[in-house]
Amino acid sequence: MTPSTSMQDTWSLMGRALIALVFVPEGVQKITGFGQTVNYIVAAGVPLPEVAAAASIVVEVGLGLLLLAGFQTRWVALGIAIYTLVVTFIFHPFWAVPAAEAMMQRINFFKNLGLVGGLLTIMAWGAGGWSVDGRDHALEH
Amino acid sequence: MTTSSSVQTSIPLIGRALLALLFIPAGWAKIAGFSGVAGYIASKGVPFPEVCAAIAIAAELGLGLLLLFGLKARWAALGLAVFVGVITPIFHNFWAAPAAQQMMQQQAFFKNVAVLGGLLVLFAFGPGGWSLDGKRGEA
Repeated sequence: MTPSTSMQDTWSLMGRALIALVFVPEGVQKITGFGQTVNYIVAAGVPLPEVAAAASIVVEVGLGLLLLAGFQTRWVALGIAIYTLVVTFIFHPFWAVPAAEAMMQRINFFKNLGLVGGLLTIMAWGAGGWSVDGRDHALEH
Repeated sequence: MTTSSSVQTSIPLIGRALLALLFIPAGWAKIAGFSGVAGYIASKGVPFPEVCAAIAIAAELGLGLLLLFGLKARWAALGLAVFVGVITPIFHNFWAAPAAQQMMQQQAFFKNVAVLGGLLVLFAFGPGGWSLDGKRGEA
């Protein structure tokens, strides 16, 4: 890992925390409202809805926590980015919804893509020093 | 993963482009619909709605383009992060929204927070090699 400055360590930890804040609580909500989550997935025409719901919980809670901790950060960020991309095309197809919904779905679509952009930025640079990945590097000081 | 050059040139460019794709068209649309935007801002009780609309356009379009091209990209990312941090509690105040809107506003709030998080990471590490900053040796 490229040696990072303390400024990079601070801001990238904060950035990871803010991104985790959207995924982890969302995943926990999918656990407590599992039946509702499955119904929502069925409505979008996704096959094996229970499996898809379980997979999305694993990604949102599991990978979300790993992102926060900064463990295998680059792969975790890539995993969440791919997940977000897939989910976005399935659940926010603004080009295929009634006109009344289109604007809302378009906004969500591009917000999600922006989020993917942030995750790819993490994938490129890693977590910085304030992370499990950066622990060994931090000890070298 | 090794710190190979391609990971820190093309991937950061894609990341910047996806973030810019959120802001640039939104800023552009605000020019065409300026009076509507000012009215929306006024409806939230924000003073000087026209000035605020102009600032929003400058941030989304101007900083968005700087981010895309990677010119002073770290500062563009920080500026956009501040912009998102200011507008999100004003326009997506889910705690004060009517029950029917609450969930939608809450989702919008946390999505914005996550975008802000990505911008902070960009602020931390810069735009990468494929950028105007990179060409000038400042990335």
